[in-house]
Amino acid sequence: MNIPVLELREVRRVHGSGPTEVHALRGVSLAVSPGELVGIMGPSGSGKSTLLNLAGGLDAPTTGEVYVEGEHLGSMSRKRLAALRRRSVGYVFQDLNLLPSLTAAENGALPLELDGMSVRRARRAALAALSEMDMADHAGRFPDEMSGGQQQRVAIARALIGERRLVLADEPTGALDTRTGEAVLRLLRARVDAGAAGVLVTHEARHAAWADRVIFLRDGEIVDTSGPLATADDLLVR
Amino acid sequence: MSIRHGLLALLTAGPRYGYQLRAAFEESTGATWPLNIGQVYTTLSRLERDGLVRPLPEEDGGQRPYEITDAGRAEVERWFATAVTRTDRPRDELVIKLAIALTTPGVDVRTVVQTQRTATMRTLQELTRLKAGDAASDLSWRLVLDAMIFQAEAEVRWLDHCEASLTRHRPSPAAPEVAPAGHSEEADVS
Amino acid sequence: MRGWVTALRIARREARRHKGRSALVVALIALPVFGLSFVAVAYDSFRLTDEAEINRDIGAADAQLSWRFQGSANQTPDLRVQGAEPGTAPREQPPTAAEVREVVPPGSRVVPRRTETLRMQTAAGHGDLHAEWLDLDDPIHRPRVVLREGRSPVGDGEVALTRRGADRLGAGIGDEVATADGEQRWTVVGIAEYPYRFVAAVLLPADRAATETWLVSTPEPVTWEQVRELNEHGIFVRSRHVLLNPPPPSQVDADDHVVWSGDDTGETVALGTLLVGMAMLEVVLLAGPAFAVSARRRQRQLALVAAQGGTPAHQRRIVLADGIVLGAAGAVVGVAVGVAAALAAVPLLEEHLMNRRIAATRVFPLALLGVAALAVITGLLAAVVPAVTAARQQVVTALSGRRGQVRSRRHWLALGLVMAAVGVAIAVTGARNVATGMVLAGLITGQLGLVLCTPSLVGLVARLGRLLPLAPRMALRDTGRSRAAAAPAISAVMAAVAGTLTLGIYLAASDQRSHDSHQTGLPVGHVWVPYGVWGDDGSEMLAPDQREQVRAALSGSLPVTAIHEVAVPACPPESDADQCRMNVPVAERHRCPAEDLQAERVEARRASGATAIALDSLLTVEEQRAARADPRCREPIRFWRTHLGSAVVDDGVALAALAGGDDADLAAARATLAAGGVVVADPRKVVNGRATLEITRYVGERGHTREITAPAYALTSGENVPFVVLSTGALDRVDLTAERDGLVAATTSIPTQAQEDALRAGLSGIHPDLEHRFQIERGTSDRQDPLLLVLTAVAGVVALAAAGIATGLAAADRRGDLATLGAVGASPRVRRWLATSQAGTIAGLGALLGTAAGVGSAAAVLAGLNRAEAHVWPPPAPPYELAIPWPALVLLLVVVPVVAMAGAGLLTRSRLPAERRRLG
Repeated sequence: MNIPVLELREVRRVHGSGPTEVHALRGVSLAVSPGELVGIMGPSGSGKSTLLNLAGGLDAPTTGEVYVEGEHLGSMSRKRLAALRRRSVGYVFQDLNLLPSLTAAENGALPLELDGMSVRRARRAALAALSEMDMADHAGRFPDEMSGGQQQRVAIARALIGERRLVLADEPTGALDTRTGEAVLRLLRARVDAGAAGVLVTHEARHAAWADRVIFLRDGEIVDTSGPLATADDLLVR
Repeated sequence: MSIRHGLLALLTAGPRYGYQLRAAFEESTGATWPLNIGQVYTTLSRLERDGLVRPLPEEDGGQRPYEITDAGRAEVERWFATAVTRTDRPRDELVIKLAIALTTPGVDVRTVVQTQRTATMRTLQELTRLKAGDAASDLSWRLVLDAMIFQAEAEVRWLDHCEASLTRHRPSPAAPEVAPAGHSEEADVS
Repeated sequence: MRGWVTALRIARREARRHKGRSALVVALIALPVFGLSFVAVAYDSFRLTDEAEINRDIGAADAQLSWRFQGSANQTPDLRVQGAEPGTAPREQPPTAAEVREVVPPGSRVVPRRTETLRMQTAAGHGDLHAEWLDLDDPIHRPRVVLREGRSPVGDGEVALTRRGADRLGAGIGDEVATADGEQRWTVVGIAEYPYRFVAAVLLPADRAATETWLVSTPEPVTWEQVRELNEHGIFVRSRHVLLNPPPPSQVDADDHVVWSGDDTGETVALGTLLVGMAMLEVVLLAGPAFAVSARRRQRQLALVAAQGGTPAHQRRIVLADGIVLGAAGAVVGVAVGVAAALAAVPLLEEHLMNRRIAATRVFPLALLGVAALAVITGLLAAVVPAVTAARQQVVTALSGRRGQVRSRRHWLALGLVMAAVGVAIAVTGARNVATGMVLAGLITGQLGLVLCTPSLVGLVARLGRLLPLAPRMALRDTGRSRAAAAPAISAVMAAVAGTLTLGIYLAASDQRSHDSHQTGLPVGHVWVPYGVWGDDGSEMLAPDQREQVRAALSGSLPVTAIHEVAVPACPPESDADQCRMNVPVAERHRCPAEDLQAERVEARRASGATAIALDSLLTVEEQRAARADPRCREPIRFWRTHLGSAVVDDGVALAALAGGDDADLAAARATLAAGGVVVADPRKVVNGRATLEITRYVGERGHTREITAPAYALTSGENVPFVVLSTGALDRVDLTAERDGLVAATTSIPTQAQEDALRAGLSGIHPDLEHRFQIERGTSDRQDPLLLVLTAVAGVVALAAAGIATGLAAADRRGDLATLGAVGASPRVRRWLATSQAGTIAGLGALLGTAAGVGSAAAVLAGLNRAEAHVWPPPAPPYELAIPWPALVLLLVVVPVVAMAGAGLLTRSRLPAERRRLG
């Protein structure tokens, strides 16, 4: 297989110290390849979000290593980390995804603009990404003027704009109804199938099922993994 | 129970013979419940015995179509009008398995749970993939698929719950009631 | 640059999305800009250029000549010192046009400038008005005088009035006015104006009569050389050219022209610098919190940008862009409103405050630009703080919406306390060394230190709330919890209050000082009418019936509470002395040695033929310093003024009317008088309860002095009246008799112009000379710089508004909490109470801190001012005392929080505020 887009090696993360010490992650290893969507499941407090924050460089592991596109995050400066998030990693959160003061197109173009691309080029790229999400008609709208599902679509478009190949989605359907949520996951799935790598944090099995591989976290440890699917022909034998 | 009612319901559209019924059944349920033709005919003969259907004269190809009777229509109406209750359904092997595993020495219930969950999760993924594969197919098939997805999800959630209960609550060997109780609690799935 | 485009776009949109918050931020920045713009425009418009000052004095003429002497005269270029050699005879007749023409360059035009005081029949009685004889159409008088309405008077029967003159006389165009004696009558044909000085004046047509002062238009500018030549003729010259191009000091004969040593030593506290510095600090402290108050609101947004790969630089840029957009808006709004308000207020300022027209409509662009730039830059710098915090904080924390660390950091408190202490130390040192820059630096450091202390202080106060009812308790806790928003708001209120109070205290102190340095002859408002008048046959005394009429006139026209007949000591009738004088000298042990030294030197200078002697140049710096250190030499130079003689006879009846004073002091004084003693004002004259009385009898030129001692009491609480009150017992001991001398009337308030006019008219009916004789003690005539009053008023307005806005901003940050409170079932009343209490907490704390800072700052400034004069003897005025303007203080301490609370209470919706979607 290709080199993984995201790789975590024996990652531990401890919040606080002394009596308030919390072990959010206890030695987690994980690799996500291009074209692969990995679901992460577990009850609240199991370390799902911590894992996601570590993967995007928003947080640093206490021990262990995180690699994105083969680069070791631990050795990067804050600036390099920010650049990495601009160029390689896209986040999709449950809410607060879009800057309320920017239109859909401008939100999509934000990482490119932050990276110094000209406003016009960034906008063109954002429009292209939006039309892949069937959101071209909404390019000029503000987040306030869009439904939750539409907002998440813009967020996904943004997450994968430019050269970005890694989507980190934290409960992206949490604020949506079942049907809209499904549509959003379907889009995410499609984008991963088109070659991106994705990590999807959720506490709902139904959503995690869109992943190629589902990892169960409990108390900061991986307790089991539904490994890659075998050939999917013989589904009905159960 | 459901095959019997399913076939009976299919006959309300008009007389059909066995192979036609099997095809129609599999089309509606998306081949998730494969039927063999013997099952169809056995069911039909039971329905005939109960006076819910009656056979029509044989056709040219040697096929004998069946027609629904008035009693049969009444039964179909009653079936659709009645909610499916848990007690109507066959006993769940998994529940029994877990309950027994708890009381059987030498068995790691957590492993049982995890194995089951991985398997169910995989089923869930496969079902989801099926669903993702053809978004355009007809509604009844999608509903069946969704039903299975939700059932599988419920099972995963139930297994999660079992696992949590096991972790929190180191059970004495004589506490076999934990798992089944959890199951019924988690029955309603959104 | 590209990053800026994005950042500016986000800022612009954010401003539009949160209109309320943006408006408050803009308003908070605009407020100090508004205030300073207002003052800057008013200042610049009223400022007189050198040229304008000359125009005010001599109109369009090239020079003004005052021909006073027959022989040689001396003057400085600015005419501040002018005089003639001793023995030089003054002119007997004023010069004629022909005479003047002879001494001025050929081809010059000469115009007489005759001014007098005319006693007119006024609306209320009789009054003295300024009168000038001039041709109003002559351009040489412009812009000194301008015709506003009607036409110029021509011929004997016509007159023009100024607006004030018309009001005083109760006449308009077409009416007839007359002198008090009714001998001259004119018809008013025009209304004219002295634009540089609103006075009640009568303007009469030019007459060709000779007069002392002439305006001259010369073909060439009048040089200093020419001025010196004209001086030789005994003429003083005010030359436009010389004033604008003063000759070098070497060409000014310095020997005769004594320069006040107090001037230009550089050792003064530059009040202007202090004002500008403090104003800048206020701008900083108001504009700064504008962004800090709502910083928390933006943290999530910034975290989101960070999640998309925004670097700290990107975040800073976004917040900075916010600062640019809102700061620029605030600056523009502030300047625009300030300029508009100032221009609109010009007529009011002209009429009621400045008493003159503006010199020109000038907006002081440089100051406006400076103020605006300062506000924007401060806004930017202040915006950076939340940006840095945002960049440094855990993105994850901000995203999850958890509040950051609320416990205020110890080291901030420590730093704040250290800064406050260091600030005080610097300010004190600065004041001691009379270093304006140091005082300013100290004040700024101190106030910034207080700002740093506010979060901890809030935390401290929050703990005090335990015993309070729900709403205030919650308000205190909440303020303590959301210090990030509360502390800047408190700082803003503090700065506004401190600024106002500093100014207010300075004004009160300098009022007090000018009151203290004024030598009153009577308690302020009281009136003295002497019996001695000048009649047809020389000096005469009013007849008893006339005295009764005077009493009636006094009580008829003034708010009189009591009228006392006052007697003065006189030679007994049987004595052969022509004149008897009484004096109570300062006791030997209390005499200031420097005074004797000064007297000696004055004699010496006189003996050597000096024409003008400046009192403050007689002693060397060391001698002056020594004198200042001597407690006996504390008395400042006072403008010596006395209506009565140096001694009066009274057994205590008229004492209060003559000298004022509090009841206990008066009672003690009366007891001394009853015991046959004397009462003086100056405690230096009393030693062990006794004073020395010197009685000098003159027979012809020869005087014979006798000294006795008598019980004495120093009435220190009264007006510092310069005379001695002798009891009849003391009078007997010095062999003098009491002679009735006049009436003193105690009044409830200073008589108005109309009351004075009425009294004058009434007295003139009793005896023609009486209207020249009576005197009203009007107290100090020193007025504050009106612009300082404007500045203080504006500062007060700013303080009130700032309190409202800052609390509003802080409250806006906590609207969510109100929603939660509503959701758990709190009644609208409780919620409104909570909002009110929050506002009260913030504004109250701010006002308290501001009071401390304001009093401290004022103390430092006053100390510096005092110190600057500390080595000058005789003291030009009593030192400034820290006079707290209590009404203003109470106003600020009470009204500021009340206004903020009322605003918050009114603004809190009683409906449940639908909480904004978290996405928004």
